[in-house]
Amino acid sequence: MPGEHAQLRLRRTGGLAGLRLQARLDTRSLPEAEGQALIGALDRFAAEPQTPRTQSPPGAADTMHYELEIDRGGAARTVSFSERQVPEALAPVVHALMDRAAPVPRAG
Amino acid sequence: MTHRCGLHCILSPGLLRKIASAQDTPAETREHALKVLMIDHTFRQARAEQAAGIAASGAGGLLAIAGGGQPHRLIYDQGGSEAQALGTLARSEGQPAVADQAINDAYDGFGDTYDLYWEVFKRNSIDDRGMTIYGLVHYGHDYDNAFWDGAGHMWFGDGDGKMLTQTTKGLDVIGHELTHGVTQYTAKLAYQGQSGALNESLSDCMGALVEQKKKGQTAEEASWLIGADIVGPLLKPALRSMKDPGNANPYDDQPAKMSDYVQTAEDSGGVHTNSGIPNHAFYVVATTLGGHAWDGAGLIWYDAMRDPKVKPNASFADFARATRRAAKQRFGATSKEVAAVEAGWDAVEVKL
Repeated sequence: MPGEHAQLRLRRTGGLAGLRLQARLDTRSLPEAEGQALIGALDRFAAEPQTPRTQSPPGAADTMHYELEIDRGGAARTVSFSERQVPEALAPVVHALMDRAAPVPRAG
Repeated sequence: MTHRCGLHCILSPGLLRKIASAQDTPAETREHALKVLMIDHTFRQARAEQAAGIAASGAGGLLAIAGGGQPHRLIYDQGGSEAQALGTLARSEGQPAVADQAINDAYDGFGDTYDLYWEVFKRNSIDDRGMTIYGLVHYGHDYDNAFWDGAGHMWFGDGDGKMLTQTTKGLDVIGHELTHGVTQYTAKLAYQGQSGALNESLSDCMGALVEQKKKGQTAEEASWLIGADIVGPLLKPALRSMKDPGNANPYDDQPAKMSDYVQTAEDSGGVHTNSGIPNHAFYVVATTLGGHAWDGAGLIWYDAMRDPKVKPNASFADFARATRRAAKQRFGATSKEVAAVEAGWDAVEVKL
């Protein structure tokens, strides 16, 4: 529905480089069609049955992990998943955020 | 191995072990006894498996055991896809170089890694039974990573050009990923907390050795940088430094000693962060001993990886003690190697 929006925050950790990347995105800052496409993806994800997602396959190493915070005006929701288990509906959301992600500098 | 049958047929494994470990045994004889023991164990295992009716599966079967010393590589082109299935087979074992340099770099890098494990550690591939080495190249679009999937495959991204570039360009990176496989088949270190950081560190140590051996470098000549050949402008000059953890690039937050250990829930408890501690211990051992790091520190670390006392949840101290045991067994209780190992762990504040 027009006017709906979401505030998103994505954090990616792990991987060979051990980097922390972070991005924030308010769908209102996007061209309307693009913003609505992401809202549609979030709606599809919300409608999916929620299955528990393990951190990574046993024995795997250097895979990356995502933590996505979704705030649609009510209570914020956080979902975590391994790069090997990105929920299909969220793939465009992850891509949109990763396009804007930057590494987090070390403390101090 | 022209003398093999002599020792192999006459001497019991127990006696061979005594010969191999006795301090007054000449180095050449000890080496020979160790080789015979290794081959003997391999054939005993093969016979036992045959008797038990275990099918020789894939390249890990009897044929591969008999033909140790030759890798079996399969390099696939994922064509920029993020699909989790194998892409197009681009180069298989024995085939000449192809037009795509990333494919050739993976093929050659796996060959150099196989050679380190075979020539120095007498290990026949990832599982020590000649397991096929799968490299999956051009995975994803601008993908800034390479990983071991826990199921026998190594996946390599092309990088986005800013953080990382083509990841198959890093020989140490290829050695790093394959070593995750070796760890899965040896110490089985759980990918969490200290055992996870040890898992990461073993991959850095062996990755560095693959590169040093290829370049013929001594411990003094080596850069001890990890990923120097795959970083983009953001992460220059490297991902990590075993010599100076925490200072490889502007984002590097690795500690070099226990009092700086980073407690975090991220990255499986900071496995790529706290690996700086055992990484630096390895560097201190290798540079204290001097010469080719794979001949001293490398052998000790490899022995420790296979020490049955090193459990999947091993702490840094558990692993440190395994390296001291290995140094004593291989080089003698009063050897310079034992002293170097003690100095290495002391430098990073891990109590033996």
